[in-house]
Amino acid sequence: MKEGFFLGIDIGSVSTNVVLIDKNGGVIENMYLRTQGKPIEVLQKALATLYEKYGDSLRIKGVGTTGSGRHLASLVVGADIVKNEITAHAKAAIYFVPDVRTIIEIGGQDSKIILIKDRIVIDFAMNTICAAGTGSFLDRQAERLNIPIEKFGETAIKSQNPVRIAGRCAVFAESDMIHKQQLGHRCEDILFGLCLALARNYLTNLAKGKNLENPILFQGGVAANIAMKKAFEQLLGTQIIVPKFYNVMGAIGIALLAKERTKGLITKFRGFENINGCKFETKGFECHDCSNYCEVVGFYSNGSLVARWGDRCQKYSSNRNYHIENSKNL
Amino acid sequence: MKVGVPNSFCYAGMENFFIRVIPEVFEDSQVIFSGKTTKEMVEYGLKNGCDELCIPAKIFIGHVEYLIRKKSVDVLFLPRLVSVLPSTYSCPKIIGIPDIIRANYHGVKLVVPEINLRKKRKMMSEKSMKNEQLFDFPMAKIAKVKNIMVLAHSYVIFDEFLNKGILETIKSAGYNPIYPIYYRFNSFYISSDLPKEFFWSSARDIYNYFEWAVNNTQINGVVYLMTFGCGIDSVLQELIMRKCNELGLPYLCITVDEHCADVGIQTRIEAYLDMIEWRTSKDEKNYLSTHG
Repeated sequence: MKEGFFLGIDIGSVSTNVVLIDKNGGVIENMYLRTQGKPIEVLQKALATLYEKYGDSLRIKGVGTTGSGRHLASLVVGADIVKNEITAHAKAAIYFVPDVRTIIEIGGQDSKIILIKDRIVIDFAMNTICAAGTGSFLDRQAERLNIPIEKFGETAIKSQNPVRIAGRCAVFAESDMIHKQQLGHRCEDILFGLCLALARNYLTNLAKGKNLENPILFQGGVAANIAMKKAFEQLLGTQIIVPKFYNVMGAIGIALLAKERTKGLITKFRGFENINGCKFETKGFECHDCSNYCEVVGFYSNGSLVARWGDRCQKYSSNRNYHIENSKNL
Repeated sequence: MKVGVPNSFCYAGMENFFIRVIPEVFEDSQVIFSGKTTKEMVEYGLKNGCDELCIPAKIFIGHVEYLIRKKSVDVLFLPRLVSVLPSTYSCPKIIGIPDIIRANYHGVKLVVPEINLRKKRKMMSEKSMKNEQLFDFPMAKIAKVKNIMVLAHSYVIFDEFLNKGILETIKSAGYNPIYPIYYRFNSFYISSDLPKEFFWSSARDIYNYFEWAVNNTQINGVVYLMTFGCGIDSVLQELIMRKCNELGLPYLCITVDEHCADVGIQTRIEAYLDMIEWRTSKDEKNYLSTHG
């Protein structure tokens, strides 16, 4: 336990993932936790679990954060590298499958396609404004049919005659599903029909005009759903690989990037005890100094201001004292 | 008399023209611009614009409302820009915008002269009609290397609220953003590879710039900033995407909408720049360019 380890943190809309890798890139620990709208608390809890298990012998040499909550997480832990999730996912996929050409990544609120050639990203696309092709949609429909999301895949895969469901829009898909249900179709047929609709929507929306070459990797939380894998395989007519750590690939990628970044440098990691002993808070307010009405958010650690963001004019984010000076007026 | 001019949408960049022309039209007048887009204006615009409009036109309505409510202007000066480039037309929403304002705001005085280069008869003096004098934007400086071409209508490129400061993001990542400017370009470049020239002036402009820049500058990538609901963008974006695929240029299309948070745009642009970085570092190792 003395060589030092690297921590990768991926805070997404639905899940918060923490992984620990050793200096050779081997995955020592991986945690997949539900964010449940409380990213800081969940992250603190995950780090506390790690600390309990390994104690002081756990020497962290580098930390990276990714996902939509990456900036928040970097303030909590003191990250060496903060990167977007596309780069992180690509990094991890190339690490596990060096000759990978296509990555299908479906997460809680967004889905991505990443095309790779000669171990570099050559093209990518992310879903636009609509959530019809993402995990939360499956989540919601499973909830409506009273099926736990973990059982979704194994129920759907039994289907013999999947029904046709319009996947273009989440709302229309839902009404389609209700109609099919009222006609008496079996639950598994509707569920697999939904998987097919989601996959079809993904392929027409994100993969439009792109060449999906083999090998194809399927990662992100939705890859747990075996029916989704089958749906993609059916539509593409080819085998799809679901990597072992499919649900924490982003975190692994950022840990690998942190490992590269901190080569020969000292980490900015704040230490487990400092993080767990701290009380982190965010406070927001709407600034009315001009007609932009920016929503300014302040990040406090043990009651003292650490950082601020959200203001267009940057008078709060660039000058930490501004708020204190003006607090009397607020 | 207070003459209000909303300087967004099709009237962005026309400030100098208005300052020159308005004293010719109105006696003893004071020109009042609406200024930069603010959240307040966006909210006004979203409330009052009909759902068929593109997002810049909705924001334009917000600018108008701001002038009426907060600046209490006596009259709005809204030239009808039917055609500002020979043998083209402006987008139909641009041509119709004075009517949309008239329908939305009863009792507000509008002065709507027509600017139409397709007509022989001209409503304004010959001097103020020249299109170099119509629009006045700062030109992009073209660097020797590391240029990223940002394609969009000028009113999107120069509205930080709409584009969420994308030019700054590109600059802070160490790249140089270059972009087309309305009607500065056509005097010295005519597109060659389209079977038929564009019907709309802005589309012709953007496409010509794209073609010129691809052939004459060292660019690392193309970013298309599409505005939600824009008909011209939906055609142009597709053409440019195909061309970029052909040339092997990294291409990114971002649709800007009413989103308040810039995280979505930031993530995409960061990932895109990472990809370019990755590509170039690989190129240097192999001494081979993937950009053709």
